[in-house]
Amino acid sequence: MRKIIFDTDPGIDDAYAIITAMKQPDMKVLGICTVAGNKGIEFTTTNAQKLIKYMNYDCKVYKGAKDSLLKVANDAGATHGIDGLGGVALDYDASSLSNISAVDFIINTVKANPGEIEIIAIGPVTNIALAIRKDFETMKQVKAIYTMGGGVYRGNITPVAEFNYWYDAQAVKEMFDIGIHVPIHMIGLDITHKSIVTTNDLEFMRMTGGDLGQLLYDMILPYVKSYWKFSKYTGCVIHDLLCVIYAIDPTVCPKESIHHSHLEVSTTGITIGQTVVDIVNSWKQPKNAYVPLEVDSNKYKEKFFEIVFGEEIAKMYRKYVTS
Amino acid sequence: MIILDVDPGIDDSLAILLALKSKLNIIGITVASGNIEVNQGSINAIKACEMAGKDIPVYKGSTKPLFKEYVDSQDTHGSDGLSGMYYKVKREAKDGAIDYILKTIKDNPHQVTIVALGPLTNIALAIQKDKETMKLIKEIVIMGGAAKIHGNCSPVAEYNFWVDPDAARQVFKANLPNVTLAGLDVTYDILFSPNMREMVRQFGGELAQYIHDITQFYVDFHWAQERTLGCIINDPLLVAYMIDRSVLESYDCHIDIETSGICIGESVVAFDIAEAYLPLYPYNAKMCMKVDKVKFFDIFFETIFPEHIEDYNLMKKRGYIL
Repeated sequence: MRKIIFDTDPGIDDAYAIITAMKQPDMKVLGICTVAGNKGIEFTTTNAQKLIKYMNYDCKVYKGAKDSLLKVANDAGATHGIDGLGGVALDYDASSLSNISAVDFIINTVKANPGEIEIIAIGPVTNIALAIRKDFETMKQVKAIYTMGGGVYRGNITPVAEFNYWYDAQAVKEMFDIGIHVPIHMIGLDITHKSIVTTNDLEFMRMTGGDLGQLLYDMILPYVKSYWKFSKYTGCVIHDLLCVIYAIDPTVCPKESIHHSHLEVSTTGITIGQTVVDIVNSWKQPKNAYVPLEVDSNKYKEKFFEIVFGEEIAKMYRKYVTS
Repeated sequence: MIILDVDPGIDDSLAILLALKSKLNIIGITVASGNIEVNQGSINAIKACEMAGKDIPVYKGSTKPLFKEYVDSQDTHGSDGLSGMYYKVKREAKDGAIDYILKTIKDNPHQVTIVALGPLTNIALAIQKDKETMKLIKEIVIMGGAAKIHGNCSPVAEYNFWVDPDAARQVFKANLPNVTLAGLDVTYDILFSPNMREMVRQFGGELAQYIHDITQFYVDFHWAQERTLGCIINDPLLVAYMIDRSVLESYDCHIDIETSGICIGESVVAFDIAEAYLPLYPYNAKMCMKVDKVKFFDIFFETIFPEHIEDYNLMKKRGYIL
């Protein structure tokens, strides 16, 4: 059984990612650490608790950083709706919030399971950086980090920077410092924007996916609206979901498209938050990141339907939607 | 009316040659320190004029970037900027590139096109000195930057902007009319291969020998540095674009230049900007993202070697080139 810690700022696409991991048979989510990003820390923490209750999953939420190391912004505005989960009505149990901090939970869990913990970091990576600052040696024992953020040839919050990494560029820099010890897989905008979930996909999910399908559909509507407004997509990019699907099955990205490279992050100027990925190895520096640049979009979406809704629905998806 | 602003440089020299052998009305050449410092660069510019058989005035401009420490590219272009050939020339360049640019524009409002193939130091200095006059240019066409492709001085920066990022930034902030740039996204395709080079040598004559000689170091560098067989000749592409606009396809963009940190010299480019973001990122240039490389080489060889066009076409047909 793979031992997973989520570090997240739910967020609609975070919700898709977390639910998918909870449904994946060989993954055990040990805890959900929250961070400010898409929304402030109180919203993201409550949203994580709501997901646990809805999924009736056995783990706790660990509240993390309320501010980025370099404070540049408050949140992602209206992209994720007023509450960060598209305004769907979900409740939560107060008891699902642990009194242990996110940073301590990460360090303690890694210490107790050296070489076994995989972190899926789909928000700003402030907690990870703080854990590294607090106990570098223990954090070297993390098995792998899957992080949604960055981009080689595109940005979204600025022409060159992606939101999560832009929100806390300093933390990203510090996270990749352990990349020579721990494999860090960066799921960036280059591939998330090559795997658009269209309205065809979403309608299929609503009609076949039962209560969960309806919930995920309702949740994502403000997100779809925002993509139409800013990018003229008929659908949306569920960035964090691709991160989890890649963690489950990295073959959604062709092996030859995964660049093991030196990565640095700009922490100043108009490029703040930009990932500089030396894919042609011009700097001849140690390699600290795995960066896929291509994705099989249909395979990714089929995988999502298979894990979350089962093999039968995935078959229908292949038959009526992708083929 | 065209002013070439250059830092020759091997590919700059080929660009001058192409421009002067074409029907374009080249009225003057201004030189800045870039690939090579301005004095040697001016000698090289004059040499290219002599090879083209044209007596175009050459003016020396800036000796170094606005703020950043000057880094030449002798490692790429040779110790004299021309593969170490150290040519002797028959005249000297004049001083006063900046004043020449401004006076020419003032005397010919809305008629002057600047083709800027080196660091933008001269253009920035002209803007600093008299911005209103600079706004009277007809057009400026710039070689520089990299939008969706890796750089050549860092993973994100192209040489011309990297060597003087502050100048580049000032130029794009100046709201000059009709700004077009072509960077590594399109110039990486302009590969002057060993087969082409040998073909040129077989053409024979002084001009052919000159092109063969000045590209030797460039070929060696490209192989040693990045395992590219042949050399990328960036600058002539912009001249070919002046001859035939269909060589390049450009798109409206917002561009700004990073002037500090690890991304120094990067062209930060946004295309397809949503209406909501336009106040923040107004369109201020067109960037070329598609190139017709066959058309480029057709223009290049037809213009420089019109007498050998049959051999060129035969080599193309037989698959030795392109």
